[in-house]
Amino acid sequence: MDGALMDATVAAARVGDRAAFGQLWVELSPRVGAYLRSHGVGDAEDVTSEVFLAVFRQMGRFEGSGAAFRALVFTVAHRRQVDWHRQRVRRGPWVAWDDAGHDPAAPSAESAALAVLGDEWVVALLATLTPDQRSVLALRVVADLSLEETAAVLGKDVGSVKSLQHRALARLRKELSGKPYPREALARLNPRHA
Amino acid sequence: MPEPEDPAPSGLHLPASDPAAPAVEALRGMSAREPVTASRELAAFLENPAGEGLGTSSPSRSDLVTVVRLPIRRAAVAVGAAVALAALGGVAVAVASTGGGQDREPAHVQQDDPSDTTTTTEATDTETTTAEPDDTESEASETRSATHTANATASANHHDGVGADDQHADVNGGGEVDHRAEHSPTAHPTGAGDDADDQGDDQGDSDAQAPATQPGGGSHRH
Repeated sequence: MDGALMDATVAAARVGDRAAFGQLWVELSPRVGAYLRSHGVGDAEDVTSEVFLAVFRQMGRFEGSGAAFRALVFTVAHRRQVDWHRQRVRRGPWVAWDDAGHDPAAPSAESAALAVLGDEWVVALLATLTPDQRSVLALRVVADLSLEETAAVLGKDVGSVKSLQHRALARLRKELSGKPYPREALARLNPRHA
Repeated sequence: MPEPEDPAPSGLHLPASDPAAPAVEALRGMSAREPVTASRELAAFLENPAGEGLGTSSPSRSDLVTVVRLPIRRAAVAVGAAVALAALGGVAVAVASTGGGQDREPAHVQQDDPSDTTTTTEATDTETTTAEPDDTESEASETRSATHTANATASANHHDGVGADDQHADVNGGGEVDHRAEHSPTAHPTGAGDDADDQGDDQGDSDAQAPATQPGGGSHRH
């Protein structure tokens, strides 16, 4: 969804258009879910729904473009993931309840396994970063935000965001130089690396 | 060494030759998935945005805290009032069971006319209570007067026979006293009356076995 379409969709949702809400959900929910998973949030789907529910209920008072709406969504997502980690510290480790069984609409078992392995690998790699470095990298890559938007979401200045991004990438390079990611697995996740 | 990071206005893109590129692309691949399954509440909202609280905000945390605090304060006030009332009720019951307070003022009865012997209806109990000590005191005085001996020395001399006659009370002009005469305990009744009269003025009238005295002052024979 390009910028113009995003602006129109946000404007339609602001007046209560039902289809516009669905389009925003389809467009942004995977990114929000990925952002939450990159921070190790266990029940990322539930938290994603909470994020959008909070944003959608404020839609009547929202004023701004599609980019501003995207920044708002990830601002709420960032705060929710911070709250989730705080609650986990108080309540103990989160254990997933995987009782959904086989979903026929889901991708094949092999693809799912590779995706899980890819997610786990990335999440483990991001765990070597500081929370701020991880947030900057995730917002820049997953949410596709600019430096200024990332700074606004995190409440930091642009220089700090640049510094955090630089240190995060340096850390990843150092980690990957010793333990290179298997090219075969990466090729299945993203054909560009084949 | 130049920074290989992509200065693109939106998002972060690294060249494939960058050692960190696989991690960044894998991270980007996390978001290239199917839409997340919406929760039941969000699905209801997406079905009917206007009827599911569009434009309304959920109460903030501070509002919730206020909402919770108000009943707690009210409950605390109610409990405090109940405890205070219970304490007052207990005191009232205790006072009622003991018959009244200690600081209760006594009733003042003023009788305008001392000759008026009619009893007023006011403070009847107080009158009865104050009258009892007077009655007791009068009875005690009567008892003391009944057991009183007018002249203990004279009475003793009659029995031991020691001492001069003038030590006897009321012997002036009474004549001689026969100390050897048998004394009757009944001669000096302990009732009302003066022993002096019995012994002296009557001049032996009280002594039944005493010899008759002569008028004008005879002498007793010892």
